[in-house]
Amino acid sequence: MLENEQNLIEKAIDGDKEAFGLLYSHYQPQIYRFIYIKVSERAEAEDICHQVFLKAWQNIGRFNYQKLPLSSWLYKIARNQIIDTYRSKREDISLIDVEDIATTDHLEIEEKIDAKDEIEKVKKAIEKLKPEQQDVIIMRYIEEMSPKEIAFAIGKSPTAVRIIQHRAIKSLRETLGEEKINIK
Amino acid sequence: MEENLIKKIKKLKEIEPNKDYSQKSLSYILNTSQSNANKLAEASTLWRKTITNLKVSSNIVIATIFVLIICVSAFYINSTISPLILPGLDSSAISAEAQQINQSININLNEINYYKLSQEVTKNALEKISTTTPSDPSTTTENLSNEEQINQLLEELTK
Repeated sequence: MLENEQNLIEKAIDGDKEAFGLLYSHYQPQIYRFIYIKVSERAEAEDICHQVFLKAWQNIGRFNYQKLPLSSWLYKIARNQIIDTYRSKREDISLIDVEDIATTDHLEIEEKIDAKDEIEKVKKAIEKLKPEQQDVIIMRYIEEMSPKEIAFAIGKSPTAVRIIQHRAIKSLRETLGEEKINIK
Repeated sequence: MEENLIKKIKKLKEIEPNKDYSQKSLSYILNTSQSNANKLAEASTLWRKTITNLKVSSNIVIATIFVLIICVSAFYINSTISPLILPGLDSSAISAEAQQINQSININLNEINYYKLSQEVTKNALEKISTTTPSDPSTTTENLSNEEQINQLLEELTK
């Protein structure tokens, strides 16, 4: 959470561009990461992420900071935007295509990472999870959000979030274990 | 095993958006106007703030009334039920009562003294009468004068 976040939100509601810019700089990388891991295509992730922050700018007055944190609200918009995008493009793009594009698109980022193969494996394993399991894993372990914040974002109880998290970890372990056997 | 898996997942944090894209996207977003819905929502936020302020001030009023009730109750209890003002513990009332008792004792002592004195006078008068013999009419008159003397003495005592 940003320092003086509430103040920045109030300014953004009043139309203060600088305040919204600060909020954007803080939250955009994590929202982008969330979208990218889920859609696996850089251009698609950029488009969706742009739409998310455009909606946030245009509707920030509707955001009630007393009820939920801004990050949860942004994740909520991102989830809905991903669903809308997939609903309209499902017929055009197959899952195999997406995986191929993702591998080539993020080549330059992955080159910077020491264990890039491992990261790619984990990313693919996450892609195999159910959408809500993906959300929980990304929010909990990559963005280090609390179960309560995740619960706000995905519209479930914190207990349900913990159960989803447990199942997702179990599935990931199984998937990654299987891959190891296949490699051997 | 699980810790190792979480470590691997956390490595995905290194995925970052392109900086040029981020800047262009932000400038495009900020060049679009905020919707009317946003302004309506702004008004509702203002309304929400007013309601919150009203709630706070009503809470203060309720708290003040509550404190006043406590103060009035405490004053009432102090002025009616307090053991400090019970008649048995009031020192001025006790001294007044003691003075009253003292006065009544003094009155009783005065009465005793009076009876004692009158008894002595009566005794003396009776002795005097008994020593004189009533032989002639003059002694009868003398007796009468003695009676008058006794009466006089008794009257003096009663004054």
